[in-house]
Amino acid sequence: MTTLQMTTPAAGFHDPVQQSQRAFRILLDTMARPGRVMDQDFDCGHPGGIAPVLAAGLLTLADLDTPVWLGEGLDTPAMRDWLRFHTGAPLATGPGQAALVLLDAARMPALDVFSLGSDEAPERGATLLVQVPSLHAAAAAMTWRGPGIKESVAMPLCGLDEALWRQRAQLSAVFPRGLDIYLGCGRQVIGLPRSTVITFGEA
Amino acid sequence: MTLQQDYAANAAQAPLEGYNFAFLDEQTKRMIRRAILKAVAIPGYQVPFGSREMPLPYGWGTGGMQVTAAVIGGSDVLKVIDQGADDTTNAVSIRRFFVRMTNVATTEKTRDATLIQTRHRVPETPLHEGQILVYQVPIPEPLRWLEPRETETRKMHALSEYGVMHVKLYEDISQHGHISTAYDYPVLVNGRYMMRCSPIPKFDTPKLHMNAALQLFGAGREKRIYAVPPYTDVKPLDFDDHPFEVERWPEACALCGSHDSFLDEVILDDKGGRMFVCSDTDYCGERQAAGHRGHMAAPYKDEAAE
Repeated sequence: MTTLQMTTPAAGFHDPVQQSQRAFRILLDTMARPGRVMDQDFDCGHPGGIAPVLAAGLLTLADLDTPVWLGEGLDTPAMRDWLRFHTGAPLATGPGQAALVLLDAARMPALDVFSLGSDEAPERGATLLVQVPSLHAAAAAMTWRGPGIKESVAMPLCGLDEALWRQRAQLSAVFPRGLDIYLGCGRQVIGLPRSTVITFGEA
Repeated sequence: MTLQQDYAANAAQAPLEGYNFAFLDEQTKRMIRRAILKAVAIPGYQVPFGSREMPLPYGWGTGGMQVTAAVIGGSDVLKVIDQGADDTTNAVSIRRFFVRMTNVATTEKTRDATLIQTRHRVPETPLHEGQILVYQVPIPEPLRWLEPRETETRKMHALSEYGVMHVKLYEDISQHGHISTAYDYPVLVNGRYMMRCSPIPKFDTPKLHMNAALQLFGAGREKRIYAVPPYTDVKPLDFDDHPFEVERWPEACALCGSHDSFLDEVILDDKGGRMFVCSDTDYCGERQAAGHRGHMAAPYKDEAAE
């Protein structure tokens, strides 16, 4: 005999108006100051398996107008239910159609599968929310420069392959097309807008 | 009603019932927030957004208000200025609107504010990290009077094809001997996008360069949002032999004696009497409170008693 299983999606914001505002300010401050780690000072419900700060980011930014692509390992029934229940966001038919993308650092696709926008409408480039194992590491491996950074900032690889960072660095050549990226771990997040120029080594 | 009474009356009011926090519905805020994030990521690029009707007409700061409404939170301290003054009609109306819709604290002090909405001025007091300056923008497109077609200006931005603006500035020089553009001076942001700084006087244009605060621009009627992140290169267009210059005044502020601020000329009578006074009322008031005196300022109390 089979039973019809009804599962309740995980919780989201308990105060959507105020918490989405606070989550947005963190997203805004980190995007405006690339490389600076910011702490989300409140908790929000999430389906498990993703950093609370990225869950808050999805709840803040996703709605009917933003197709979401769930990366490898994150495309679970619990995640789909949670996302659809709280945001109503459609799931993208492919990574190139997504406005918002949720990814895990250990299972990253090549960055060129995502929409970079066009020269006339660069804002259509995707926003990636990437779950990383750590934002702090002893060794800095690259230097970030650009708007929002006073001079330069030394950054670790944050658990992403160096090859992937090199792909990202090459995207500077197609600016204003590009990808805007958030790196999240637990309640901490770093913003990496497409305007940031990445160099490797001591440079 | 004085400004102080106005603040007191505002504080006594709870946020208006029946409206969402900060007036806009959540779906609209999300749409505006996404536009703001893209604007920050592409400095100087005008991101289209679905501008809403606000309870005042387009042209009265609806773009700035929508940006402020999407950004503002309960812990913000809001300052609103119109041409540098906290007590002019547009500033008073917009400040009261946000107090009624959010119950946030307000201030006149530039350095105490976390969020400043402005019409046509950048405060004289340097901004610090963590502050957000929201500009009300009437016409966001710097190329609009040179090329009326949006399809064309969009292409010109895509290709970074800005020669036409240099021609305009050159024509200024050939007709007047100098660049006569006095406000809304065209700038290049981060070496890529030409941007209109909203009609701030060119005196304020250098303040955009490497500013520690985040600067957001909202144009309600024209439905565009753009941004200058902190520490971003903002360069006014000019020529090697006609470098960019800001305006200067023959006098200092008549009230606070400042030589470094933007001065308004006030006509006093019909016999040619005039005074120059700071446009930024908070800056002028702070200087007077610190003891600086211009030649038309009221004397100190102890001086008056003598």
